[in-house]
Amino acid sequence: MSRSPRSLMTPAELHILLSFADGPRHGYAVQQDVEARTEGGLVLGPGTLYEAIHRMLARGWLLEAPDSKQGRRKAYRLSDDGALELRRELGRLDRVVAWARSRNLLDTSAGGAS
Amino acid sequence: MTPGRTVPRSIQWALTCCPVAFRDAHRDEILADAADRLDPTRGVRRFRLQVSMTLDVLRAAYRLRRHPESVNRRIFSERHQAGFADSLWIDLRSAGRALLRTPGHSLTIVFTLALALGLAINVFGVFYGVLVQPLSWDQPDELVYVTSSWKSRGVDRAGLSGGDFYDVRRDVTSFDDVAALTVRRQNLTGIDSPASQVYVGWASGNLFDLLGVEARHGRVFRDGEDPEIVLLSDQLWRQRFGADPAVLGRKIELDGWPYSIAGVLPEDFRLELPGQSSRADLWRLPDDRWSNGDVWGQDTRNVGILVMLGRLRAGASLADAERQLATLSTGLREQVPPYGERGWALRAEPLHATLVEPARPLLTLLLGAAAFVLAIACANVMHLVLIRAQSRASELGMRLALGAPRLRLLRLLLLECSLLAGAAGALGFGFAMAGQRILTALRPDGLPRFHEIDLGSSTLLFAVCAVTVSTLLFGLWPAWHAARTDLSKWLRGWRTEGRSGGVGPWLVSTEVALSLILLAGAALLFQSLLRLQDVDPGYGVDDIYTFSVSLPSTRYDFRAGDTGEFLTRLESEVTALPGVRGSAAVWPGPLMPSRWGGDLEVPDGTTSRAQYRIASSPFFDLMGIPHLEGRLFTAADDSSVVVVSRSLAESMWPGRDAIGRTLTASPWGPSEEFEVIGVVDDVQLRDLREAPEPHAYFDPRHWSWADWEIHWIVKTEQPDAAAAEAGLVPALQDRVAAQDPLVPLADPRPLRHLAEDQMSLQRFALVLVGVFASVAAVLAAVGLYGVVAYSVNRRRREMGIRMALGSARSGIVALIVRRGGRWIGTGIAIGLGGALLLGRSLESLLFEVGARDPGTLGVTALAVASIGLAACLVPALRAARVDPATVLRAD
Repeated sequence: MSRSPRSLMTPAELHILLSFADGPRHGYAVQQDVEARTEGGLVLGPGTLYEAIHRMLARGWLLEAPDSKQGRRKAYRLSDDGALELRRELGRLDRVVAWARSRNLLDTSAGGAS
Repeated sequence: MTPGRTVPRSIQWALTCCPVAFRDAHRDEILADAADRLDPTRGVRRFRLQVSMTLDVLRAAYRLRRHPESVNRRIFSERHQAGFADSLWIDLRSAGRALLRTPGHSLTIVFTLALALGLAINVFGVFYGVLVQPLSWDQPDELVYVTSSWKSRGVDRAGLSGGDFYDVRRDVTSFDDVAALTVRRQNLTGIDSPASQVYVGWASGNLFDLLGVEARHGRVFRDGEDPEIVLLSDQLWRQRFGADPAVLGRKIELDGWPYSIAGVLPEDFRLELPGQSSRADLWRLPDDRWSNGDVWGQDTRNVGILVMLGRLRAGASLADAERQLATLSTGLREQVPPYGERGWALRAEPLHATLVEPARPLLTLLLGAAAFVLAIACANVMHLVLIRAQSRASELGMRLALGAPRLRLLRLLLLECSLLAGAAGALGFGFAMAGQRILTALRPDGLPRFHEIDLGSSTLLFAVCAVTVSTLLFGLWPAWHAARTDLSKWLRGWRTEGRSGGVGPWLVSTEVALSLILLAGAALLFQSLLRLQDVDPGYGVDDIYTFSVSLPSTRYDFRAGDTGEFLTRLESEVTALPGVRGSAAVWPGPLMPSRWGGDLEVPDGTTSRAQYRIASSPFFDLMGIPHLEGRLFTAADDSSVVVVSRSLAESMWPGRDAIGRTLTASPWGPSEEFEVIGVVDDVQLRDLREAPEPHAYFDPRHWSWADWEIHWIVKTEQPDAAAAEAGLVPALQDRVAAQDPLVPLADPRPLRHLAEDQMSLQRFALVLVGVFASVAAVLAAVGLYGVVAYSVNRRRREMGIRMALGSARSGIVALIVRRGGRWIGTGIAIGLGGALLLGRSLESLLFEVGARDPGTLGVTALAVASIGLAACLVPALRAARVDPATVLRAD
């Protein structure tokens, strides 16, 4: 699918992709994963979560995992496209962080506002 | 995670808002997740979590609906706008497709509206260009027109003398600067082309600085300059000098005096001042070369032909200037005895308002008429749109049933209307541009600023506003009505909604009322024009031809009688031409706008006021003015004789013989005694619209002015002077040139044309209002027909049943016509009321007809009623031919 003009990935999408990087899982697991990773900073409501999953399925970033049915739930896994997309986004963030560090923007923040 | 656990209903409900694809794919997961999350919570926490999850699902539903494709933008408002625009685009295409499905219907609407919008845009363009748009000068709001009024003589606007000008310039400090000017005719010679008369503006040197006008070539003149330079108008520069840029410095002669060309004025420079010729081919500075008096003398009070333009000082108001002018006037009335006698006072008016005054009533009238036509067109279109919405009942009902919000339906219908109106507006603007040319070509004399009219941005803005307003007028009600209707009714279709006429009767009554008002206006104008054409001036205008000559004082010594000699010679030469029955010198010529009023006094002290006119003896006979008593001028007479008109003789010497009596008059400046030698009948020689005025006629052989045009009348043997023109003019030119090659023949034209010019304003108004009224009447008739035909069509079944039950066909016709007649009657009553109320706005354009003339209004009402009934009769007769069996079977 065409991605230009490419807009930013939302934080929700980034965190969901991060969770899937560890392997296939179902939505609720992703939600708990994200909540744990962000230490409660990002709590995904069910609507937001499945909207993101729905869109990423449509884009081909996620796939339904084989024999995924666990009762009423389905498991999903990262596709190659999705993995590429995640690496790109992380690379972008990395460059942002590296630049911020080169300008000493990051070190001071570690010590808080002194 | 046992199945069957209670999942809050709010989340289930929120899920129903989600798109089907999403719901099908993730419904179970969402419900399971929600249950799992809610499980460990109790009480307020549980409730809060439930609410936040519900809202979360709702937000997701919203985003998914707005952006069905994977749109990944984060900013909410952007998403929102994109969504609105997307759906608008979808609706727009849908509306376009719907309109193209019924091309005939859509075209009818577009053309009806385009016609009305075109008229409205056209008239607005003129209205704006003339009345609203500021004058093209620098800071035009500061400009003030200064003239004088003579209260005790009832003269509104009279000229000023050089003395007045210098006084105002010195004493009135509210003015930053004051310029004076007048426009005179002079003979232009000394160039390659033959001698010709031109209009020459004589202006104080500061005029162009005051107006902020710069020369197009060369320079304008300034105050205190050597007066031997002139400026050319763009027109004269093109016509006589071939638009040659090297014209600067060339020598020309005006009335035999040498001048050199200093500059060419811009193309759009035109000074249309009331009481002054709007045409000026040349401009020159003040000098004392005019043989009739020192126009610009600092102490001159007896030659008052100037008008002034003042520019208000920053911060000063017109009222300040008026106060100072009044003080100055009081002083001058005491200083100058004739001023005291006349009740003389300086008069100041804002320039723009004064200048456009003659056009205001007509243009306001036309704008009103155009608005009426537009309103009628909107009423027609509204009915068409209503019918259309009703015929699409099932489509709209389907949309509604499938979940289209009513607001969206309203928007869709309004979009259709705005597409129609937009197309009509574009087409109408095209019509308006074409109409502009026609309008400017029809331009009557005396309407100012027509050359400035241009369909510019403000007209475009007006067009957009007119389109919007008309869309709302004709589209809002049907759209709202359609969107508001009960769904079940939609699905059953509107046809069963009942037999009420709906909005139709109101439309019909409105249309009838508006078109009646317009037709009444047109009828009144038509009556005026007829009566104007029927005015019997007491002389024939068909076989008279006119021209004028002007003798320059550099070559003719009027004191030595040169002028009289020239006139006598030319008179006999012209009379000797083949096809000419006679000719005479006269000033002011018949039907010319010039006024030349003066006082008369008889030895016993009675004074009277009369029009002075110079006319040689043959004039009376050629014009057919009855010679009642005494005799006319003869060669033996000296300058001290006068011929008077009957009304003057009666007022000066009531019941007594006027012949042989003496009176004092001052046609040549100083008061002199004259002996009355003859009495002629009263005729209106100046303006056919006015009553004849008392006249004193003087012998032109004693003409003691030079540098002044003398009018001539030539009576042709052919009954139509206009037809004789082709042969006559060269012969006349030849005769004049034989007398003096440096004296040009000017303004050759049939008297009939002058008479027609006086009716041109009425004719212009009649043509336009007539066109508007006819369009309105046709639209109203078509609209009425449409409404009646449609309502009859809807009641076909009822008609069928009535006939099946034994009702006669005539009864059916009567039923329909009676109902239509009620609507028409209401409309006529409203329209008559409106015509009576609005008649006042017509008054200034009417002649010998009252604005509330009962005959005209009655006839118009009858005409409207018969047109209306005819429009009802057609569908009624068709309904009566309906075969009841067919109609009933069809159900």
